[in-house]
Amino acid sequence: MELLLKTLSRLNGVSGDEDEVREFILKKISPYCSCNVDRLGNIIAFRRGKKHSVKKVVFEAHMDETGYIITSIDDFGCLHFLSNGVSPNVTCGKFVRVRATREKERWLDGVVGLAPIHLIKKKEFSDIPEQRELVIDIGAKNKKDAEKYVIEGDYAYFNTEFGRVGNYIKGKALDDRAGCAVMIDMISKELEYDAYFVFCVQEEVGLRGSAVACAAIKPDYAIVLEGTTAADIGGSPAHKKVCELGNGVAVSFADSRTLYKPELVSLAFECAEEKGINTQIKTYVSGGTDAARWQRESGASNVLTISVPVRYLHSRASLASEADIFAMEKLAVGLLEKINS
Amino acid sequence: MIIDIIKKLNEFVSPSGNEKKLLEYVRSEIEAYSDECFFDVMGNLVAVVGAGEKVMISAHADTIGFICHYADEKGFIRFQDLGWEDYRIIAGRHVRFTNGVDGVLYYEEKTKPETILKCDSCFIDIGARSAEEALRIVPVGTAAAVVPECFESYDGRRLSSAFLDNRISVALLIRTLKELDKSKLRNKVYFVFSVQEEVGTRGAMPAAYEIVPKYALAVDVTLTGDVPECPKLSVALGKGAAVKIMDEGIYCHKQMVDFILDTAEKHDIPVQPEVMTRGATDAMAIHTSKSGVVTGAISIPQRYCHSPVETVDLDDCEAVFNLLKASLEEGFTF
Repeated sequence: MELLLKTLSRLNGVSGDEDEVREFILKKISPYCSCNVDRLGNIIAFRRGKKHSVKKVVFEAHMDETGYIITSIDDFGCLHFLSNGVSPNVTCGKFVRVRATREKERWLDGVVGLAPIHLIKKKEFSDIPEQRELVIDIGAKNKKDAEKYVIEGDYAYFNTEFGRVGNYIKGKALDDRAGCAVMIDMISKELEYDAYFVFCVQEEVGLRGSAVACAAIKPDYAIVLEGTTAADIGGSPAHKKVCELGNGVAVSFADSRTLYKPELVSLAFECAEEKGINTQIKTYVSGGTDAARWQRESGASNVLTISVPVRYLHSRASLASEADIFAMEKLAVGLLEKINS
Repeated sequence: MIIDIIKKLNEFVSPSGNEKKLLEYVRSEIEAYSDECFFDVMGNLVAVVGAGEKVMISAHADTIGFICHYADEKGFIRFQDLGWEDYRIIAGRHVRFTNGVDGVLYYEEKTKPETILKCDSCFIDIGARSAEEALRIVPVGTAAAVVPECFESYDGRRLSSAFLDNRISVALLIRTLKELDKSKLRNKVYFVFSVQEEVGTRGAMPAAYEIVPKYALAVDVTLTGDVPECPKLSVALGKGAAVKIMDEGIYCHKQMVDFILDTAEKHDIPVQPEVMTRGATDAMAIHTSKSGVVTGAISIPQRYCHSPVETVDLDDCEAVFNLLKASLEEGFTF
């Protein structure tokens, strides 16, 4: 699992630029299932189980991650960019990599710089710059020089090494490569019942991939595997911790886009109890997931979102517990059996 | 009597996502009057009568409310909103959870009087003494709502209660279904008691997708401009059924508006045009479903929206009932 996560975390796939992730996943899963890629780029896979399923169950994770897209190049050769789901305060002062269309090596290094401490007044120290003040400096001499490598519409990524930090794993894009990793692992093992697996594009820019995937399948149940905010260390008031690292897979009762049926949330906890899976309830109503689409975009389906708690979501480096990821897989497998029995 | 139905509906705690018990009661009331009556996957209650081009009549059955997400070490419950709540009015109220547990909703006392209260600065006290006890009684994810009190004005013309948005419409739809002359129907009519409207018209959306109606009417309450120092709106209590022209979610189909107005004139039913500058109803979700639905809305004018003293005029309610019944008996055939 760690190796799989490492590979997935290092792959680059900002919303709209998921090709690399998709190709890797297709290579991994195609020996085990029938799969196709729809017009938006979602992977729709069907895995035969030992038994035919009574209910049509879909597991879903999104392939895209948060990052940047270049919008313009200025006279100094600096790249202005739009941020997909990353706030300016985790962007500035960072090292990034640009997938440069015109560069034969494909990757350019860049720095998101800011005025140094010497040039700003003391009272400005705590000011957070606005997105439009930030640029990626790729060391170009001027606009013409920069245009030799980059065109508007190129994507930029955090340059983050995957690794271990104490008890946890560290990497970018754990939201939602953790979900992808779990699904790849599920597909490669034998399942009790038939199931669909959907790897979606463009979740981070407004649940766009799933909006069409749900129409293609129209499942009875859709279970979304996600990464969710863990604000479990100092600074957050106790009632806004959301969930805690190492306490198991987090089950949502509600988020800002979906209210989950109380009986389905209970079903998840029953399943966890029977199988001895470490499970916690997500204790804050925040974020939205593809479950919103599956629940009601093309008629109605029963939905659940189960998530791996992730610290520092949507930033350069996130932390997660591998044990929580295993718990998510066990719960997903357990739910497939529970729903069909 | 409408007030009797309201009082019965008020026995249920039905914030968004928790409409099941209330809708099971509605089902028991209407099943005998419909050809087919079922719950869809989303939890909407659907009752079908007649034959012909499909018409969907939608009234949401959920109310605004709260959802428990945490309890502190002293047993105070923290919650978040289900729908738009106004804590100027809600703080200091008796609330009830869906499992029947009562509590008091109050604000952190450090709050300055001029501060606009939000859910994060309020809590619910159920009398628990520890986090463990509180969450055993009210598990995370349990929803609650204000306990409604229903009463009539001195002359019996006005009705006040929490959750007349949208229980008044649910009551009127029940009555319409019961008293409708089925022999006159020229449409296959789907009465939809929808869920989760207050959190963003989430129930009506998949219902319309599955039903694929040609015509639709949403029945809901609307804001009025007849109280002191309020936004300028033409709708007022006592002037009749409000026929929606537009709100934030829809420009109603002109043919539908004309049909409703013509029907009102023909049957001598008092109506007033409605232009609502804030808010939306199920009509928003329905009219863009699949390849489009000819959609309009009939509204009950209501003062003090989203408060425990929502107030309607019973003559307006009568007009809405008559207009619904007359429209269905005329038939949607344009």
